[in-house]
Amino acid sequence: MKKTMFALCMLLILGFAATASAAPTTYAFTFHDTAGNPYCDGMIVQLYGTPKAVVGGYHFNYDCANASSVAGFKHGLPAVYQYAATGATLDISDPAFALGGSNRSEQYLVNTTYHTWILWSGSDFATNSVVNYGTWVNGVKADVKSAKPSSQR
Amino acid sequence: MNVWSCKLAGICSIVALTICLHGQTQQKVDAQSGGAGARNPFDGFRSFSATMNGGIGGDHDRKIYRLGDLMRADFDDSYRITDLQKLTMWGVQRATCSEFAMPDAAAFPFSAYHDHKVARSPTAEKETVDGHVCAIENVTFTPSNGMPVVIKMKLWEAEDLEGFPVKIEAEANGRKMNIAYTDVSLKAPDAKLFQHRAKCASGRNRGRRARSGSTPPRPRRSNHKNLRSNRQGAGCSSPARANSSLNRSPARYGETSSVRRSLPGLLAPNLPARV
Repeated sequence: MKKTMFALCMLLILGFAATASAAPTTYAFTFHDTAGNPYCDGMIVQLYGTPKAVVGGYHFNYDCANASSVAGFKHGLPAVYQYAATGATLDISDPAFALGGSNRSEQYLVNTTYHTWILWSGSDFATNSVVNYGTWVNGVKADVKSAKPSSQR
Repeated sequence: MNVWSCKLAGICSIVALTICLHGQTQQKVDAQSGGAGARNPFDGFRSFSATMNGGIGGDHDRKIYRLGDLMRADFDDSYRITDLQKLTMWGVQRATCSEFAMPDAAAFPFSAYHDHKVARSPTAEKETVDGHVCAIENVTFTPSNGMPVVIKMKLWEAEDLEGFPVKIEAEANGRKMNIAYTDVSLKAPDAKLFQHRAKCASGRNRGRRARSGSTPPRPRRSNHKNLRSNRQGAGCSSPARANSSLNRSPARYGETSSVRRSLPGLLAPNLPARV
């Protein structure tokens, strides 16, 4: 009995220790369309925090030239709000410079398991819409200047 | 005590469920009736095709079609169909199909404000837009549920197109948005343009996990059927097809410093110009 309790305690302690010391994970990726053609933009974001659910980083080349700050959280979301994916997604808010500036929402859902993304936008209570979606690949292909950004459909 | 607690919890649950269902029903009724006031000016155009510029998605020369409650937007190698009543959307690619619980951006404003109160104020002004003599009308959409944002629109309604709004200026919460429609035809588009599967793959069967260093996932048996049907037209298959080109290593690079090591020279040029 004592041995069992000791083992359980050790497991709990180790579990907490592992959670507390969970190293941040960095994702660096370039957006592609559904056919696999690259867009000029992508993101470099870090997943961190305890629990590890905070997302922060940059949307590089949002207009094929500049970068914007992005932030959000990782959480579960039904499949109907994602593209070809289900479960936990990086829910990333973007300043929407590429979509005409401020005072509108721009939300990227980036699924790191299925390697897909979707861009949502809305400006009032009734206009949340799908702007674009596709897949993504690892790496920052910042030299793809001929393509358009993922927000330009 | 425990028995009474259970009974009380049960009663509370039933009451909460009733209230919840009533709310949902009320929303559906409101959406169908269009709320009080004038008719939504976009409800009258149930069959047309046009080329769209601007809007929520910042579209450029986007070809759109409407037939009844369905609206289609063409893309380079795919198309999207929005159900304007259910406010759902199908994205149909060459080999895959995906269903979403919200409309495509190109469906705006035909997809929006069904449950808003509409106030229309025609003006005496006339303007010619893209060769069409247009009457100008101001329209205000007010949420029926008391939410504070009022949407104001100015419509340029082409007289030779039965009043179709060839130009729209919309303003919500101080933000302005323009939409222009050209090459408008009020002829009903071919119904074949709106073909899609009644159900696209969804949920856990929609996609396959991208694996490190693996070969692209083989489609499941059900997908073989879909792929066969795709040869005959737009069909649906597992979005694993969309990921088939993703035979890549895992996305995780570890700490930022390791990213900088593994991607030398790629971070610096474009970061962060705007913070």
